[in-house]
Amino acid sequence: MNETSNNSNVIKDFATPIAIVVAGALMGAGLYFSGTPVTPQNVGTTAGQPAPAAPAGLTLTQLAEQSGVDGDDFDECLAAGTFRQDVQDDVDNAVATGGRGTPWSILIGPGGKTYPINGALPQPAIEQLIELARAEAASTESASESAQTNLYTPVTEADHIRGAVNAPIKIVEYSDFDCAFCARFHQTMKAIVAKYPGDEVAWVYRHFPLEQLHPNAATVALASECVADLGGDEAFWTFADTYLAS
Amino acid sequence: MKHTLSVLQEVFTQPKYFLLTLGLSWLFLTSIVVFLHARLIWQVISSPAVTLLDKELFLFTLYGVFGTNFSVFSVTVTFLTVLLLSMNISLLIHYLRRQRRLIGSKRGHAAGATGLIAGIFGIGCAACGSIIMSAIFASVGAGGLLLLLPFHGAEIGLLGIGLLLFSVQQLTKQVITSRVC
Repeated sequence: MNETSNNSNVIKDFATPIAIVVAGALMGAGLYFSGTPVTPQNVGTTAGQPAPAAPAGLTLTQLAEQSGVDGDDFDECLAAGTFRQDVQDDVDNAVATGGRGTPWSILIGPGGKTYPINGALPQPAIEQLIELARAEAASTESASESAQTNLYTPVTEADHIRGAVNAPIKIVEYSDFDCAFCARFHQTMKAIVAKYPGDEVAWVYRHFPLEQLHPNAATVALASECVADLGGDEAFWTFADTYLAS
Repeated sequence: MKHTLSVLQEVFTQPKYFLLTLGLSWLFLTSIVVFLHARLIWQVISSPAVTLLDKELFLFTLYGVFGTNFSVFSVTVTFLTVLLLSMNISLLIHYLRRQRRLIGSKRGHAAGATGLIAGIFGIGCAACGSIIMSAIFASVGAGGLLLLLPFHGAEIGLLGIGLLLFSVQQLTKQVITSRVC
């Protein structure tokens, strides 16, 4: 009888902690297994569908026109999904370099050394990192480096660049137009390129739309490429600045 | 509720527990920053070309991610969780020290320690043990959950806060009734 009572007490005493552990384990497992990893194959699944509304109440076509591009040409380009492979290539490169979320950036120092920037770092941290990269480039002492970030696709004139293509410091950003933190980081990067001369620090914009989280992001990325194709890099940046400002 | 508040007042008006809670909170917040930027931090701190001051400045600037890389909701949940986690640990330490003091003699110390360890696994003073386990698991569970929420689902953090609040409440209750344990 006493033994039964003791057992019942033990069960009662352990009910709360067991409940907490089970709840925690279930929630953790649910979160872990429900998270779909970012895979290059997912890009562009929504492309070709009607253009979603851009922020500030504009359609993508209206935004493209505001950026200096003919609306009909833009619609045709977007419907054809012409630049799907280019966006895909950016995503592949983002994943290959270690990107698992947005914004994902790589700072390339004067000596070619790379630094991973995970998320929307504040402006002082970016400035500090630029100084560190300069200091390391000036030093003869070697230091550790991430081999993964070295896999970035070399920056060329074909990229969307603010600053000189041969600037000693380049920040390559892999971004998602529909990610709130990318919008914040966009403002940070605008401040960075405004602070440093273009022949010292360049900002390179590449695509990393996370369609699992933002179903329209790939379409907006394709739209921005259409704008760039039809109106040049200036039009691309106008489009990006306007879209990410709202 | 009244008892809970009086115990919290009793514990956290003592400078050592107040400072311990603050120190632990800082440690947990730093852990989050390090966890998010481990590769970059390692690269910077291991560089012989960067001065110690510059390394410190860089690490300091990284705390800004709580303003740029978190939504208002998620930063609130994160700070609350960190604070409650630290309070849990401080209360747990207070409880264990109090238990040892109440038992008194050296023999009592040993018996108390054995009793507590046994209690943790549900043997002997099972009531105390289950409370300690609740506190530990709620803390670990909530902390672990936060780390599993990289993008969204911050609302689930509220559940973690609930568990931690429950744990704090249970610990304070146990501090009051520990004489009968």
